[in-house]
Amino acid sequence: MLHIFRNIAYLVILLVMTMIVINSSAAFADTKLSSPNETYFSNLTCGGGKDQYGNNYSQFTTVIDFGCEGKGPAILDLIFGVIKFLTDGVGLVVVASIIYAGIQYIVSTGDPQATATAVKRIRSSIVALLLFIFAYAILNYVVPGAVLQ
Amino acid sequence: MWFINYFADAPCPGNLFGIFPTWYSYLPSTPDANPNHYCTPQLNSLDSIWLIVAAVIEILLRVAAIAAVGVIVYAGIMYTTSQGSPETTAKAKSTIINALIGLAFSVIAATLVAFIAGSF
Repeated sequence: MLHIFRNIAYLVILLVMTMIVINSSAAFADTKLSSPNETYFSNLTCGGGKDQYGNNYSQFTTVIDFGCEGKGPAILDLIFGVIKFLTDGVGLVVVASIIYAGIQYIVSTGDPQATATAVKRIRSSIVALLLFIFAYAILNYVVPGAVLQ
Repeated sequence: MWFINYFADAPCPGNLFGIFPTWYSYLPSTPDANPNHYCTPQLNSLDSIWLIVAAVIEILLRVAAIAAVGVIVYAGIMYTTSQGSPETTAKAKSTIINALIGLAFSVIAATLVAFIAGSF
Protein backbone atom coordinates (compact mmCIF):
# COMPACT_ATOMS: atom_id res chain seq x y z
CA MET A 1 0.00 0.00 0.00
CA LEU A 2 2.73 2.44 1.01
CA HIS A 3 4.81 1.53 -2.02
CA ILE A 4 1.86 2.15 -4.33
CA PHE A 5 1.27 5.55 -2.73
CA ARG A 6 4.94 6.50 -3.04
CA ASN A 7 5.05 5.46 -6.69
CA ILE A 8 1.92 7.54 -7.40
CA ALA A 9 3.52 10.54 -5.68
CA TYR A 10 6.68 10.16 -7.77
CA LEU A 11 4.55 9.88 -10.91
CA VAL A 12 2.70 13.11 -10.07
CA ILE A 13 5.99 14.92 -9.44
CA LEU A 14 7.36 13.60 -12.75
CA LEU A 15 4.20 14.75 -14.54
CA VAL A 16 4.45 18.25 -13.06
CA MET A 17 8.14 18.47 -14.01
CA THR A 18 7.28 17.37 -17.58
CA MET A 19 4.57 20.02 -17.78
CA ILE A 20 7.03 22.64 -16.58
CA VAL A 21 9.46 21.68 -19.34
CA ILE A 22 6.72 21.64 -22.02
CA ASN A 23 5.39 24.97 -20.74
CA SER A 24 8.82 26.52 -21.03
CA SER A 25 9.65 25.05 -24.44
CA ALA A 26 7.95 27.91 -26.29
CA ALA A 27 10.85 30.13 -25.33
CA PHE A 28 13.39 27.49 -26.30
CA ALA A 29 13.09 28.23 -30.02
CA ASP A 30 14.24 31.81 -29.61
CA THR A 31 17.03 31.11 -27.14
CA LYS A 32 20.22 32.38 -28.68
CA LEU A 33 23.86 32.69 -27.82
CA SER A 34 24.56 36.39 -27.81
CA SER A 35 27.97 38.01 -27.78
CA PRO A 36 29.55 37.83 -24.33
CA ASN A 37 30.29 41.46 -23.59
CA GLU A 38 28.24 42.54 -20.58
CA THR A 39 28.83 39.67 -18.17
CA TYR A 40 31.36 38.57 -15.63
CA PHE A 41 33.14 36.34 -18.13
CA SER A 42 34.34 38.43 -21.02
CA ASN A 43 37.60 37.15 -22.52
CA LEU A 44 37.96 34.45 -25.16
CA THR A 45 41.77 34.63 -25.12
CA CYS A 46 43.58 32.42 -22.65
CA GLY A 47 47.12 33.37 -21.65
CA GLY A 48 49.34 36.20 -22.84
CA GLY A 49 51.78 38.87 -21.71
CA LYS A 50 55.49 38.50 -20.92
CA ASP A 51 57.21 36.31 -18.33
CA GLN A 52 60.11 37.43 -16.10
CA TYR A 53 62.71 36.80 -18.85
CA GLY A 54 60.84 38.95 -21.40
CA ASN A 55 59.56 35.99 -23.44
CA ASN A 56 55.96 36.03 -24.64
CA TYR A 57 53.54 33.56 -23.08
CA SER A 58 51.72 31.45 -25.65
CA GLN A 59 48.04 32.26 -26.22
CA PHE A 60 44.98 30.49 -27.53
CA THR A 61 41.38 31.51 -28.10
CA THR A 62 38.35 29.46 -27.07
CA VAL A 63 34.96 29.12 -28.73
CA ILE A 64 33.06 29.13 -25.41
CA ASP A 65 33.94 31.83 -22.89
CA PHE A 66 35.62 30.03 -20.01
CA GLY A 67 36.45 33.23 -18.12
CA CYS A 68 40.13 33.51 -19.04
CA GLU A 69 41.88 36.73 -18.05
CA GLY A 70 44.21 36.86 -21.06
CA LYS A 71 47.45 36.94 -19.11
CA GLY A 72 49.97 34.51 -17.69
CA PRO A 73 50.51 30.91 -18.76
CA ALA A 74 47.60 29.84 -20.97
CA ILE A 75 46.83 26.50 -19.33
CA LEU A 76 46.79 28.00 -15.81
CA ASP A 77 44.57 30.84 -17.03
CA LEU A 78 42.09 28.32 -18.45
CA ILE A 79 42.18 26.14 -15.31
CA PHE A 80 41.56 29.06 -12.94
CA GLY A 81 38.74 30.33 -15.16
CA VAL A 82 37.03 26.94 -14.99
CA ILE A 83 37.62 26.72 -11.21
CA LYS A 84 36.01 30.13 -10.72
CA PHE A 85 33.01 29.09 -12.81
CA LEU A 86 32.55 25.83 -10.86
CA THR A 87 33.02 27.62 -7.52
CA ASP A 88 30.03 29.85 -8.27
CA GLY A 89 27.75 26.84 -8.57
CA VAL A 90 28.78 24.58 -5.68
CA GLY A 91 26.32 26.05 -3.18
CA LEU A 92 23.45 25.92 -5.65
CA VAL A 93 24.08 22.29 -6.56
CA VAL A 94 24.36 21.25 -2.88
CA VAL A 95 21.09 23.05 -2.07
CA ALA A 96 19.36 21.37 -5.01
CA SER A 97 20.58 18.00 -3.74
CA ILE A 98 19.37 18.67 -0.18
CA ILE A 99 15.95 19.84 -1.42
CA TYR A 100 15.67 16.66 -3.49
CA ALA A 101 16.52 14.66 -0.36
CA GLY A 102 13.79 16.61 1.46
CA ILE A 103 11.29 15.55 -1.21
CA GLN A 104 12.45 11.94 -0.75
CA TYR A 105 11.92 12.34 3.01
CA ILE A 106 8.41 13.77 2.51
CA VAL A 107 7.35 11.01 0.14
CA SER A 108 8.84 8.25 2.36
CA THR A 109 5.56 8.07 4.41
CA GLY A 110 7.22 6.59 7.49
CA ASP A 111 9.13 3.85 5.67
CA PRO A 112 12.47 3.60 7.55
CA GLN A 113 14.37 2.37 4.49
CA ALA A 114 13.24 5.33 2.36
CA THR A 115 14.09 7.85 5.09
CA ALA A 116 17.52 6.23 5.43
CA THR A 117 18.10 6.87 1.70
CA ALA A 118 17.13 10.53 2.14
CA VAL A 119 19.39 10.98 5.18
CA LYS A 120 22.25 9.36 3.27
CA ARG A 121 21.78 11.83 0.43
CA ILE A 122 21.77 14.80 2.82
CA ARG A 123 24.90 13.53 4.57
CA SER A 124 26.68 13.03 1.25
CA SER A 125 25.75 16.56 0.12
CA ILE A 126 27.13 18.09 3.31
CA VAL A 127 30.32 16.01 3.04
CA ALA A 128 30.71 17.19 -0.55
CA LEU A 129 30.31 20.83 0.53
CA LEU A 130 32.93 20.41 3.30
CA LEU A 131 35.34 18.70 0.86
CA PHE A 132 34.93 21.61 -1.53
CA ILE A 133 35.52 24.18 1.23
CA PHE A 134 38.73 22.47 2.36
CA ALA A 135 39.99 21.99 -1.21
CA TYR A 136 39.29 25.67 -1.90
CA ALA A 137 41.13 26.73 1.27
CA ILE A 138 44.15 24.56 0.41
CA LEU A 139 44.23 25.91 -3.14
CA ASN A 140 44.18 29.48 -1.82
CA TYR A 141 47.00 28.60 0.60
CA VAL A 142 49.17 27.00 -2.10
CA VAL A 143 48.49 29.61 -4.82
CA PRO A 144 47.56 32.84 -2.98
CA GLY A 145 45.17 35.10 -4.87
CA ALA A 146 44.62 32.60 -7.65
CA VAL A 147 40.94 31.95 -7.04
CA LEU A 148 39.84 34.36 -4.32
CA GLN A 149 40.42 37.91 -5.51
CA MET B 1 26.27 38.11 -3.82
CA TRP B 2 25.58 37.64 -7.50
CA PHE B 3 22.56 35.34 -7.52
CA ILE B 4 20.69 37.29 -4.82
CA ASN B 5 20.75 40.29 -7.15
CA TYR B 6 19.32 38.13 -9.92
CA PHE B 7 16.56 36.98 -7.52
CA ALA B 8 15.72 40.61 -6.73
CA ASP B 9 15.04 41.79 -10.28
CA ALA B 10 13.98 38.66 -12.13
CA PRO B 11 13.64 39.89 -15.70
CA CYS B 12 11.60 37.08 -17.17
CA PRO B 13 8.33 36.27 -15.37
CA GLY B 14 6.80 33.17 -16.93
CA ASN B 15 5.13 30.46 -14.87
CA LEU B 16 2.89 27.41 -14.84
CA PHE B 17 -0.49 27.71 -12.99
CA GLY B 18 0.99 30.79 -11.31
CA ILE B 19 2.92 28.44 -9.01
CA PHE B 20 6.03 27.18 -10.73
CA PRO B 21 8.61 29.53 -12.21
CA THR B 22 10.09 28.61 -15.57
CA TRP B 23 13.64 27.40 -15.97
CA TYR B 24 14.61 30.68 -17.66
CA SER B 25 13.15 32.97 -14.95
CA TYR B 26 16.49 34.44 -13.95
CA LEU B 27 18.13 34.63 -17.38
CA PRO B 28 18.52 38.12 -18.84
CA SER B 29 15.92 38.64 -21.56
CA THR B 30 14.83 40.97 -24.32
CA PRO B 31 11.24 42.09 -25.10
CA ASP B 32 9.54 39.80 -27.60
CA ALA B 33 7.08 40.84 -30.32
CA ASN B 34 5.38 37.44 -30.28
CA PRO B 35 2.54 37.54 -27.70
CA ASN B 36 2.82 33.78 -27.14
CA HIS B 37 6.31 34.23 -25.71
CA TYR B 38 6.80 35.65 -22.26
CA CYS B 39 10.32 36.72 -23.13
CA THR B 40 13.42 35.79 -25.07
CA PRO B 41 16.00 34.39 -22.66
CA GLN B 42 19.62 34.96 -23.54
CA LEU B 43 22.54 32.70 -22.74
CA ASN B 44 25.42 35.14 -22.42
CA SER B 45 28.05 32.95 -20.81
CA LEU B 46 28.72 29.75 -18.92
CA ASP B 47 27.50 31.63 -15.83
CA SER B 48 23.93 31.39 -17.19
CA ILE B 49 23.93 27.70 -16.17
CA TRP B 50 23.85 28.69 -12.50
CA LEU B 51 20.87 30.97 -13.11
CA ILE B 52 19.04 27.99 -14.64
CA VAL B 53 20.04 25.90 -11.59
CA ALA B 54 18.63 28.62 -9.31
CA ALA B 55 15.29 28.45 -11.15
CA VAL B 56 15.28 24.64 -10.88
CA ILE B 57 15.89 24.97 -7.11
CA GLU B 58 12.86 27.21 -6.82
CA ILE B 59 10.74 24.71 -8.78
CA LEU B 60 11.99 21.89 -6.51
CA LEU B 61 11.10 23.91 -3.39
CA ARG B 62 7.54 24.37 -4.58
CA VAL B 63 7.27 20.70 -5.53
CA ALA B 64 8.46 19.83 -1.99
CA ALA B 65 5.83 22.09 -0.42
CA ILE B 66 3.01 20.63 -2.53
CA ALA B 67 4.18 17.06 -1.89
CA ALA B 68 4.25 17.78 1.87
CA VAL B 69 0.66 19.06 1.80
CA GLY B 70 -0.47 16.00 -0.16
CA VAL B 71 1.29 13.55 2.17
CA ILE B 72 -0.09 15.25 5.31
CA VAL B 73 -3.64 15.10 3.92
CA TYR B 74 -3.09 11.41 3.10
CA ALA B 75 -1.81 10.77 6.65
CA GLY B 76 -4.78 12.64 8.08
CA ILE B 77 -7.16 10.38 6.16
CA MET B 78 -5.18 7.37 7.39
CA TYR B 79 -5.51 8.67 10.97
CA THR B 80 -9.25 9.25 10.52
CA THR B 81 -9.92 5.78 9.17
CA SER B 82 -7.62 3.99 11.62
CA GLN B 83 -10.61 3.02 13.85
CA GLY B 84 -8.42 3.19 16.93
CA SER B 85 -5.89 0.67 15.68
CA PRO B 86 -2.60 1.64 17.42
CA GLU B 87 -0.53 0.34 14.52
CA THR B 88 -2.23 2.54 11.92
CA THR B 89 -2.22 5.66 14.10
CA ALA B 90 1.50 5.20 14.76
CA LYS B 91 2.10 4.90 11.02
CA ALA B 92 0.04 8.03 10.33
CA LYS B 93 1.93 9.96 12.99
CA SER B 94 5.34 8.96 11.62
CA THR B 95 4.15 9.88 8.11
CA ILE B 96 3.19 13.39 9.23
CA ILE B 97 6.43 13.83 11.19
CA ASN B 98 8.52 12.66 8.22
CA ALA B 99 6.72 15.03 5.88
CA LEU B 100 7.40 17.96 8.24
CA ILE B 101 11.06 16.96 8.65
CA GLY B 102 11.52 16.73 4.87
CA LEU B 103 9.86 20.12 4.36
CA ALA B 104 12.08 21.62 7.07
CA PHE B 105 15.20 20.22 5.39
CA SER B 106 14.24 21.71 2.02
CA VAL B 107 13.29 25.14 3.36
CA ILE B 108 16.26 25.41 5.76
CA ALA B 109 18.74 24.46 3.04
CA ALA B 110 17.44 27.18 0.73
CA THR B 111 17.15 29.80 3.49
CA LEU B 112 20.63 29.10 4.84
CA VAL B 113 22.26 29.65 1.47
CA ALA B 114 20.28 32.84 0.87
CA PHE B 115 21.25 34.08 4.36
CA ILE B 116 24.95 33.18 4.06
CA ALA B 117 25.21 34.51 0.53
CA GLY B 118 23.44 37.71 1.55
CA SER B 119 25.93 38.37 4.37
CA PHE B 120 28.90 38.66 1.98
